[in-house]
Amino acid sequence: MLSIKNLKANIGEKEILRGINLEVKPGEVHAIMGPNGSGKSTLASVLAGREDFEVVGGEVDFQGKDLLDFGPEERAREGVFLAFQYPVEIPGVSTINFMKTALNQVREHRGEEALSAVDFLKVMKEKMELVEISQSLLNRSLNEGFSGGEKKRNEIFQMAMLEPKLSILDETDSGLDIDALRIVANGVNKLKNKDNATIVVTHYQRLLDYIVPDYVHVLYNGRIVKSGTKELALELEEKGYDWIKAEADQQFA
Amino acid sequence: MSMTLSQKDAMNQIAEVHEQTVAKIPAVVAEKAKAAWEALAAEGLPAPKAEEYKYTPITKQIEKHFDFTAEVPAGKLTAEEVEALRFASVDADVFVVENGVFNPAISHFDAANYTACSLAEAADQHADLLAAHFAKHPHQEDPFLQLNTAMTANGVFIHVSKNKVVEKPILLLHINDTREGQVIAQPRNMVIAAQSAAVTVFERYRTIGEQKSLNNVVTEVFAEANANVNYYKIEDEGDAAYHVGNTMIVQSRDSVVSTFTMTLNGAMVRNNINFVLDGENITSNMYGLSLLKGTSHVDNHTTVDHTHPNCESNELYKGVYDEKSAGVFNGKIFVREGAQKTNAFQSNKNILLTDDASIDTKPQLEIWADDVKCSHGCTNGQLDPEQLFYLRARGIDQKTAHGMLLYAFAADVLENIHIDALREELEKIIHERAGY
Repeated sequence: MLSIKNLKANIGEKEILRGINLEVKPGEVHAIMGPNGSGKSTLASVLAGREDFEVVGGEVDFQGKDLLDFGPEERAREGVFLAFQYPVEIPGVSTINFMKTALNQVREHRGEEALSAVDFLKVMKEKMELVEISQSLLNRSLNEGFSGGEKKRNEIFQMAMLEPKLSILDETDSGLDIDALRIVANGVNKLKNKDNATIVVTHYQRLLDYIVPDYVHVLYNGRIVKSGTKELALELEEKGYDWIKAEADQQFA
Repeated sequence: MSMTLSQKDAMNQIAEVHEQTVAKIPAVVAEKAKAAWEALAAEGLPAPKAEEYKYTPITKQIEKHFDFTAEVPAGKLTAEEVEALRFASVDADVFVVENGVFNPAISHFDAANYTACSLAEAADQHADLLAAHFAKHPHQEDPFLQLNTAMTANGVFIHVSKNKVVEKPILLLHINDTREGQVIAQPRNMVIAAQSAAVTVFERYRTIGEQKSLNNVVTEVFAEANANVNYYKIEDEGDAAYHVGNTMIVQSRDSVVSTFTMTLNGAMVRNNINFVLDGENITSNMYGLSLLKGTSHVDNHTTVDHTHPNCESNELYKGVYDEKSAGVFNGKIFVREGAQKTNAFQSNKNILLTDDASIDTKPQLEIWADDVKCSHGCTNGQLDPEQLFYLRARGIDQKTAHGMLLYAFAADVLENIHIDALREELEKIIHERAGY
């Protein structure tokens, strides 16, 4: 589904991604871990099409298409979804209105008809239950005055509405209390099926107790320096990142 | 002050019309007209470098394009045209001011719970009221206010007596009909809300015809003790229109006045709103929204004069400037000695959509009391790229995302409009402008 080859990206003159390689197949969950500043969030942003970063090398193939050719909206319509680390507040844009506009543009791209107001509300109610989000929250301006947990639930709600092929969760767990974490993880697990894939970017192993990955990759200094199964995450939890840093520093010295 | 030749010409024209005017108007108004003319004659219309008008050199435009002695066409508006030029969905008492003169024949109103007539009739039938209020605002120094007073034409007089609540909005629909020639209109309106009265007045400015027009309007608003007044002004006169408005507001104790000023176009528009808070426990709210494109120019000058303790003023003006349009914002807040416990807040936020659009913004706070809370802030910029990215990352195309954000930026000021149907009409206009 997703094939990343030697992806390199800069911000200004600074190299952030120095050659990422990653293969993701339908039905898989990949966790990307790593110390702060390793490039995890940059990878997520570059995949979603954030223009602050300049891609200076490599390829990203998504379902046979060159993802790097597309603007953020085209990527979203093709089925890439980024759950933001810091969902932005947009005063004056109601969540419902926003979601309806987004869903209908995505549907149009898929060759589906726009949903009627009634059908939209029906779909919305269904997805709301999945992430235990209330109607009153959705009537408000997008993320405005939402708590941290509400913002993250809103991200997963949007993911449920748009039914992406590839979801990238960028530090979705950071700063959540355990109840909110369970709700978010539960939502993600229910949305999982054999045709879609998930990339979970996280600093903490705790999330992976709830969203169990098939593969764990460690990102350090702009490269994936180690890959393994979920046991790798446990090892990282126990031993920290220093041993991996030492290994990598030696390898790339 | 030295005057250029053309300025003298304009002043000579004004002198001529002033003399004709004072000969015809009631004594109560004529005295004020003479005094205003003397003040104006001494200083003249604002010179290009006059501090208060340096970003809005409207005198030059007036000298270039208008002749005060030219006969103003009578206007040939029909009732159907009036309906098409107002918001027909808004249930209101409609007073049409045609080429600067109140025209009852094409107006329609019940005037339930209040008194309404032309200003000339008021001078006759309500002479005491007029004498007590006409040109009584303490700030009479604006040259265009003086010009209007010196050449006073006939506007609308509204009086709401003690404890009366006027439910239906009152629309003062100013239409300049330039189909038969250029129009200079100088209407004068007055709204008096007596003790504990409540009323909502909205002015809408339109033009029919292609020729140039100049509106030099004055509306005086008096909110007596514990009165509630909403005053909205929506300018949509087109790009051949020049406009100077002076909204002169005097508030007595415990009163609440909220204004909203919206500008949609205009060759050059200057709005002066001038509040005097003449008592304790007064609330004054000022909101504004300018949505300009082309080469339109709007200048919002607001003054809030806190003279007594325990009052509050809130001000929020927003602007969206596209193409080569320009905005000016000047917000004066005076807190006089003794006006302790004053809360005064001011905010001006602008979005510039092109490199050619411009905004000059200047807060001007003068505070002589020591126990007050005053703040001001301004932001000038583009749409937030972070917000744009968020919307696009959900599949929304750039143009729609742009429109949604513009709409959201502009529409939040509309929350302060308390006529639902009017707010909906304005929302439609913003949707259209935002392209979303």
